[in-house]
Amino acid sequence: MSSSSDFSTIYSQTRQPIVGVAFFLLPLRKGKINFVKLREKLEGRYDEMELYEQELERNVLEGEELYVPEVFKNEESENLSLKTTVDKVILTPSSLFGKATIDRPMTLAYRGYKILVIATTQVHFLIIRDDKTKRHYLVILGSRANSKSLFTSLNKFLERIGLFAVTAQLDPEKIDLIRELLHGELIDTTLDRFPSPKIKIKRIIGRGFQDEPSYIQDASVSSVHQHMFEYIDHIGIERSKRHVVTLSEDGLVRFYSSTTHKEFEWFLRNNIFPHLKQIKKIPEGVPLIAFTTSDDIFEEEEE
Amino acid sequence: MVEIATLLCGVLGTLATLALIKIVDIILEHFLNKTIFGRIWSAMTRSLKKFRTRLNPIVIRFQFRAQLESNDPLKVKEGLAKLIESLSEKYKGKIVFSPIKWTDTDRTGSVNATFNNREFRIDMDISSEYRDYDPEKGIFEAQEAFEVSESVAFSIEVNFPLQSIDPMLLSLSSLTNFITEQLKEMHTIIKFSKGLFTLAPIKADLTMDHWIKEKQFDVSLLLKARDNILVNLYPKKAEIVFPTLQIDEKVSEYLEATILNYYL
Repeated sequence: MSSSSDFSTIYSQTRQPIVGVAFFLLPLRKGKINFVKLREKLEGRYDEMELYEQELERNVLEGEELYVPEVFKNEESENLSLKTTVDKVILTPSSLFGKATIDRPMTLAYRGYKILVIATTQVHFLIIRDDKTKRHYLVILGSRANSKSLFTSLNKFLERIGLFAVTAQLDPEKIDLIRELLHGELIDTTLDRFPSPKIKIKRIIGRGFQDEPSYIQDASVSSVHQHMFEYIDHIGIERSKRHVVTLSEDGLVRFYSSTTHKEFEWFLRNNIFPHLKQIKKIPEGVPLIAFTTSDDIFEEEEE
Repeated sequence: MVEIATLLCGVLGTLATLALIKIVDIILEHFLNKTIFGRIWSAMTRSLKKFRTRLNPIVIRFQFRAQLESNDPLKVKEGLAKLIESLSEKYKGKIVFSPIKWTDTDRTGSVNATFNNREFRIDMDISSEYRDYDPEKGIFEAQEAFEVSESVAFSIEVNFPLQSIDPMLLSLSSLTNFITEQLKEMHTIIKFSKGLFTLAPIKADLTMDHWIKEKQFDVSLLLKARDNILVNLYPKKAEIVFPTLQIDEKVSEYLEATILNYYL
């Protein structure tokens, strides 16, 4: 396992393409989250979900046999289990940056056998408090599928300490507004929800077509589902940097150009969070307990 | 001979009056940017055309799309049947729905709704697409490709005389509202498209240039208003697009103007 200093290098210095899905992190009671305490609570968390044999068998075709390699078998239990672990969480100057490991089952066909494989994926995440919007965010840095599985498991941990993450949405107008504010040149756009039954979705690929009449006409009838655009980040006159980014309705932000997690975090703070919309409330059934114990993660809001 | 002279005088007199009216209009237009007689004339023809829609009603179609969570198209069909059933139950005595008729492909359902003494024909088109199996989404490769539906396009057609455009729009607006609210009740994730009115056939002559006329090009015109309302004129139809599904007075103003200018 990497040391804290290595891990903070991953946050602030390693450059790579990054994809993340933003969620709202809702406190179950009033107060400001103490990130030091939250870090302690999250690091080392472990969760197990059982995968039942019957459920596996049901999906195996007749004449096929399900083969489960020894390595995936559990010593204590008959059933297979899918684990989620929060391996490491560090406190950055502005957020919490963590790494989790999730298990994902899949099957492979091999000459009359169905072989079950449990693949392990590492997913990073960020927990951010934004002073401008005065809200907390959870950003899972992974593909849609990976972020969805970690979101479900992570919520089980969060729920126990008084937090709950809910999905967020970027409205079509906001996606275009963000592009406009960044003077983005469109590269790849998916226009969705055309009102008549004949055409539902149109995808336009090109470069800088945001002012083309045919694009404007299509966009005026439909809703922007996804924009991929290029923009220049003017850090200084000499250090202008070119970025290619995708924004999607479901709060997915993908950097195709290499960036650091730290820069990604600041991109979200400056450009995404002010426009993000909460569409779901805390589901009924999540206990709204008053957390008043000494190791409570909440502290009084400063006036 | 005298009769012919009188007739000639009469004809000349009429022509002279018309010419005078035209000259007055030209002068007024030049100095005040207004015409008096021209306006009276167009007002007269307009009221005549408006009146004619009592016998020959205007046909209009209102369309929007509802995006729902991915599902089997047949499940979506069941959902739509349930939607109409719930509405029929909820607005008993107010709206009368005919039984839904489905096409052989099970992708389009039609139902007539009688509401405020007016009949609305509602078509519901289930859009579907074929997807390749995505290993990231499921554990098992049950099928190589599968069909899913993520949205339904609603088309509401109604005919009406121009005099009753306001009560018609009010009923249409309520009906749309009932449908969308019921859909929201039935689905956790739901998004709606913009609203689209289609008016056809239209009598728009957009061939401003002689060459365009000569070559018989199909000309279309895109008019974007400041209120975020858009009017698209095509050779055979006009479309009015607005950002939400709320049919407000602005939308009705544009709709009425399009009818008066290009439909009648």
